[in-house]
Amino acid sequence: MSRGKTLLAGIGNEWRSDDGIGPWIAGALRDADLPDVAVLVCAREVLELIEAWKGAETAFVFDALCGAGQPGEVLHIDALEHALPQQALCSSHSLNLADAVALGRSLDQLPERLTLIGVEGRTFDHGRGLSPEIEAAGRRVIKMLSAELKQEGTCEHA
Amino acid sequence: MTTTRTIKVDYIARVEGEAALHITLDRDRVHRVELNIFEPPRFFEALLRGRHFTEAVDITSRICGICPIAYMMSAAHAMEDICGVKVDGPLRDLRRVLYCGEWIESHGLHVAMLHLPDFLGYPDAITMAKDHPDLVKDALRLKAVGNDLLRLLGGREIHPINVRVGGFYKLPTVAELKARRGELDWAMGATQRLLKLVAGLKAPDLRTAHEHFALRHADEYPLNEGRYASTDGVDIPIREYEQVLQEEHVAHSTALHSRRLGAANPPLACVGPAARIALNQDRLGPLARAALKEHGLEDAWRNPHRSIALRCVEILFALEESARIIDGYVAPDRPCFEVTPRAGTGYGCTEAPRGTCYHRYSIDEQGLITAAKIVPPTAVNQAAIEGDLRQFVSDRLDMPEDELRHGCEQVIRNFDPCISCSAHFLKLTVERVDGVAA
Repeated sequence: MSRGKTLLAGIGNEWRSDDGIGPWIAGALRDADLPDVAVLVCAREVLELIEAWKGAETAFVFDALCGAGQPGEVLHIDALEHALPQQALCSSHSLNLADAVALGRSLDQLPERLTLIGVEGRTFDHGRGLSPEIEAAGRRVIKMLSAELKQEGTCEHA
Repeated sequence: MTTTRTIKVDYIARVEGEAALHITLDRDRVHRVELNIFEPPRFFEALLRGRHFTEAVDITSRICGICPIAYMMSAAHAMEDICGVKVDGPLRDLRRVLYCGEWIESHGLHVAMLHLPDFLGYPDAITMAKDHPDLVKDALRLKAVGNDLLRLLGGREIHPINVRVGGFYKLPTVAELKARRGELDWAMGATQRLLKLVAGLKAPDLRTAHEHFALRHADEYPLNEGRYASTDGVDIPIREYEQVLQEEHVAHSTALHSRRLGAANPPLACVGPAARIALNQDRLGPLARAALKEHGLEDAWRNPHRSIALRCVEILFALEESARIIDGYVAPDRPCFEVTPRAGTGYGCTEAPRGTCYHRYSIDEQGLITAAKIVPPTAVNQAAIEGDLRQFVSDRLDMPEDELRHGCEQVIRNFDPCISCSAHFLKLTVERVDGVAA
């Protein structure tokens, strides 16, 4: 992972349908050649986020949501201001995002701005591929962030 | 008159998986200790039947996200045993580095993030990190070193995809391997600092009479190969494993227990770092062996509460072993040996971070699996965990419930159990029966 002022991190499992929306968004933004951006994809090892946050001023974390709204709905949560849900873990040997934020805070390794962008999924069944409305929501997120980050880059380099 | 007191813990953190513990005691003695693993059986042995022999490596990798290499290696070795293929040279060395990566990440996480809070008096690593940030930062970096080796050689750190019967699909370049040396050097220093801390921790006294089982190799600390040995004199080829340890069902667990065969009043079987150190400390690398001696840990395997220090010694070993292999690595001309199936039965036995991981398979002429047997280390350790709990509680019958419960959790964490492998944790019930035996 190259270092940059903005970290874009996708969390999820591409082999569990809409759970793959986080990596899918992160992957698309990596290919967008944005300035001063580092991209990280976490299949499950959320601990890596803590190390990656260390060098970032701003971080966006993309993840699938379950049970927070209608499929395809997008939530933007300021993860430094608002408590994240303590979802059940599939392994005690890994952390959830809320724990990672808490540990990052204890270690003074949080970025100045940390935003969770969550996309409500429709299905988390086995297999690759996103539901149409989830992919459409992902494209909206990519378009929005690409414009925002390109604009920031242009301003800084002007 | 009967007085029953009950303590329930719906979920005990910092162990892998879910189970319940039920202890019945009165003021004089412990009546019953049962580790109730209620995780549904996962039927891996059954779903392997009918699959091609080359698929076992990737299927068994899914048994565990923490120690997938153990399952992949045992499966690969068993299939190679059937087909008469011996993977040696640089490919064997790379398998050792891959396995070292798993030991580093698994042991590193357990020692510093899951087990150490018990000794330093914190409920979890997040709370501990506020007072010991550098310690936790080092632990995270250490785990990253292990994960990095898994990614390099396994393709990814969770359920790797680059191991095959006969070798690997793709090999790393010499330059990619050499690039890891700097972090390995840092990690050796960090682990020595961690070992100095954990070796000096005050550990509860607990002496057990378990029979410790581990692989023993002629001239190396065991990871992938060796004869099967025990502290009570067992020394057999791995194909005779089931003549010594036999799995049996007990009513209170969905994970099979292991019973020692061929001994009157057999001791409880125990596998893992303590067993490996007990049987193989003369095979450790120079750095780990010197550290074991410097901190007076040669006999620490007898007290399960000192397993935290032994895991640290093994991290040190895995780091120096990886460095040794990388320093002498010469790339082979091919990533794998050709393997042609033939009918037969084969055996694979390797050392997972938590202990021996035994596999047996039979395949037919087409290479289809007709029978499979997999014995995870935590399944073997269940009876020893119960034995340690019984002894721990017996020595502390008057201890207040909260302290007793915490002590029991610590006894269980000594084993770093991977309950999801064995058949998840922990609902604890302590029942005090005054006057009437339960």
